[in-house]
Amino acid sequence: MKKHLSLSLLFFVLLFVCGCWDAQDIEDFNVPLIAAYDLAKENGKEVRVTVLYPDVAQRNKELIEPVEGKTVGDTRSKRGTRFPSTLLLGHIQLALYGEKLAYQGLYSFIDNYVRNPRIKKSLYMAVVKGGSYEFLKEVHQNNQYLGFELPKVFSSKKKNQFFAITTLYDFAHAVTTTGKNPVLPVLSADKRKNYKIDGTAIFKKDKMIAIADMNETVPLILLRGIERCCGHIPFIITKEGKQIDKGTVEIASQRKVYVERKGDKFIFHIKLKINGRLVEHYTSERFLIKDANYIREVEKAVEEQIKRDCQKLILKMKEEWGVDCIDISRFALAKWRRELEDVIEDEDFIRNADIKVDAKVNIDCWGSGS
Amino acid sequence: MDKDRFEITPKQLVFLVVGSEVATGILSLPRVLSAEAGHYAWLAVILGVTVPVLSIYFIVSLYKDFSEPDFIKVSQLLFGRFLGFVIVVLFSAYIVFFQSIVIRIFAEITKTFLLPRTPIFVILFLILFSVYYAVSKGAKTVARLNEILFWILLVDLLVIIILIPQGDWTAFLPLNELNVTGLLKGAKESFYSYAGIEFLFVAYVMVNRKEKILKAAFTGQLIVLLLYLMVVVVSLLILGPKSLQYLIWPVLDLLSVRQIAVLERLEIVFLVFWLGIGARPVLNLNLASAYSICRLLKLDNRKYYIWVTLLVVLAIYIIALIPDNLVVVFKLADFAGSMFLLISLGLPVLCHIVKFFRKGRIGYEKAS
Repeated sequence: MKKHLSLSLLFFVLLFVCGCWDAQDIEDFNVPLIAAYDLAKENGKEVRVTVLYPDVAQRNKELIEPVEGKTVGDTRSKRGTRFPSTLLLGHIQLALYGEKLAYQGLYSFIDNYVRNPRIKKSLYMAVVKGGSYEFLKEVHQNNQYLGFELPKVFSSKKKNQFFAITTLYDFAHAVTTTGKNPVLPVLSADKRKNYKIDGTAIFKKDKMIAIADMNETVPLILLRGIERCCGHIPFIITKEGKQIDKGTVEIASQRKVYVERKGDKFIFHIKLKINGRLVEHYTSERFLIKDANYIREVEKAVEEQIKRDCQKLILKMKEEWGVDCIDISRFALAKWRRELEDVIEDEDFIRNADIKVDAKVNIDCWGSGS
Repeated sequence: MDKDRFEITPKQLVFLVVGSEVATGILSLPRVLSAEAGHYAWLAVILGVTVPVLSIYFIVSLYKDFSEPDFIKVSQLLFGRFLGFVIVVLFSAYIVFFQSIVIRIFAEITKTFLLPRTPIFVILFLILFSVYYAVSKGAKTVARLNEILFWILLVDLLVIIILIPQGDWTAFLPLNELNVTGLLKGAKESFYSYAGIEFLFVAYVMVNRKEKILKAAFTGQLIVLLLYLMVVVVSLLILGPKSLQYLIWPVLDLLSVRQIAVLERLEIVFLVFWLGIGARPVLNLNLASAYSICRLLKLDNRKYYIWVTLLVVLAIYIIALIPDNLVVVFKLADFAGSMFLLISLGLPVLCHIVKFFRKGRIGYEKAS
């Protein structure tokens, strides 16, 4: 009796095996690597979602499928009426957003990602100059493995270039946290249909307000104090207005922020501690091991250049953008949260703040050349 | 008591205490606490632990004077046959209700993250079937299972430490703007996560070395506190009190913010183990409930325990299916949290008061 009861219970359990509902054949799916979002051309109210995925049936081929709809979800159902495959969203590596859409605001277009537990919060986000569909179509003509290659630009921890790397988590966190604003890398296609990082999109919460070019991106990344940010910086040494040497240093930067207030005035002191190594210098007459001042001159040149670029960017941020894009407001909140919580995101706060930058460069590695 | 199946060691009690408390609550704890206490959520965790700590102390000090510290016998000695009977029935009903909520939340998480197309009633059935099987083997099996699952839980939760360097310490500041009302509300919200210690009412009699119970229970409670603190602190560091409000189960989202080499999706690794961990309180409290009912009705444990267990599991299954959606479930969880306060603190205090007034008239007291 007991045996029969156990067997019938086991049979009953097998009937309810979850696979009956959730089992799906992987061959029925396509796995998008890049999703691109734009305002639909016709009315600007609809969205166009383009996905780029490697085709399971045809090896070594990536497909690009644009679909327009009222919402992101609507494009998914419309996609079903136009294309045979079902998309498995869990492996999306990169989400691209067209420029116009970014100006309108991105939160409505990331909600489907935040809500879907299958989508990883570490997927990368970027803004595309112009339309993201046009970008994908154009660049893909030149690069048949774009879906695999482009996300790697962000994931392969670049150590020789400064640009923003922002994940879905970074973006959503900045948008939903008082005193924080996200930045996204900007992609564009050049004349030869190659992709390139072309600047940084400055956001006020989820709305893009401006694009900083690559020259502004370097101080922006340094000032934001992005964890262990590093890259190459060229330098020029001048004496009495005359260039005597030039070269490149590879640096890694750490930021410290201290904030004080005098009445209603908030004074931010940003200290950049920069360590690095000499990559190259052009003048062959000066020997580093004989000339004790030379490395100090390099350090000074880099220091001055960084300070100059940072001050220029801060001025632009205060006068033109009116938004804290260098992530310093949180330090004021950490001292006067209750008082500032409601006003810290007003333009006047950052415009009236006094922001001082100090950079200390230490080139402690010269390589093996003398 | 059937010693072969129901006797446990003080060391096993440590794991049972952790297992009875740490489950679904931990996944939403940072959100519910920071909703009320803001960036002082970590302080609400510490404040909230006073309830289970007092509860442990009251329960242990209540039982130590009885030669047979059995929940049913003590209840009937203190309150008389009828009232004692009612108290045990209410206690068992509370456990069934509470565990229905726990298992429903567990099933909801499983559905959201792992099995979106599988109906809730199927997920519940599969979980409760396993629960029934383990509980029917007795306290010893349940305790051993808790011990194994504890180590898995530890590894599973400790992985979130790797996120600390990415955190923003300013999220904890300033420390001088404490909102006491918010903090107290936050502490109240933590009760759902601390519920489960009332298991000690029933488990006390099962522990073989009674003099070590207090230490074991406090050790278990300390582990729970440290785990909760760690989760809340890391959540505040990575997400901050405001962002936390946008996520239903922030701890799971926390695990997906960073891609890890080899493992890639940390939350998937967590969820794989989660299937074992999440059902532990149901195991432990189901055991307590079935054992109490058997004792109350004077049924032979060897013959009827598995049938009573089956009935309890069935009751949990039916009640777990009642709420329409997650909003209702969370409201019920909130209510269950308040009930926890009544049962874990109110009941032992009441017992102490009655014991004080009836001193010398209770036949089973060691002292008398």
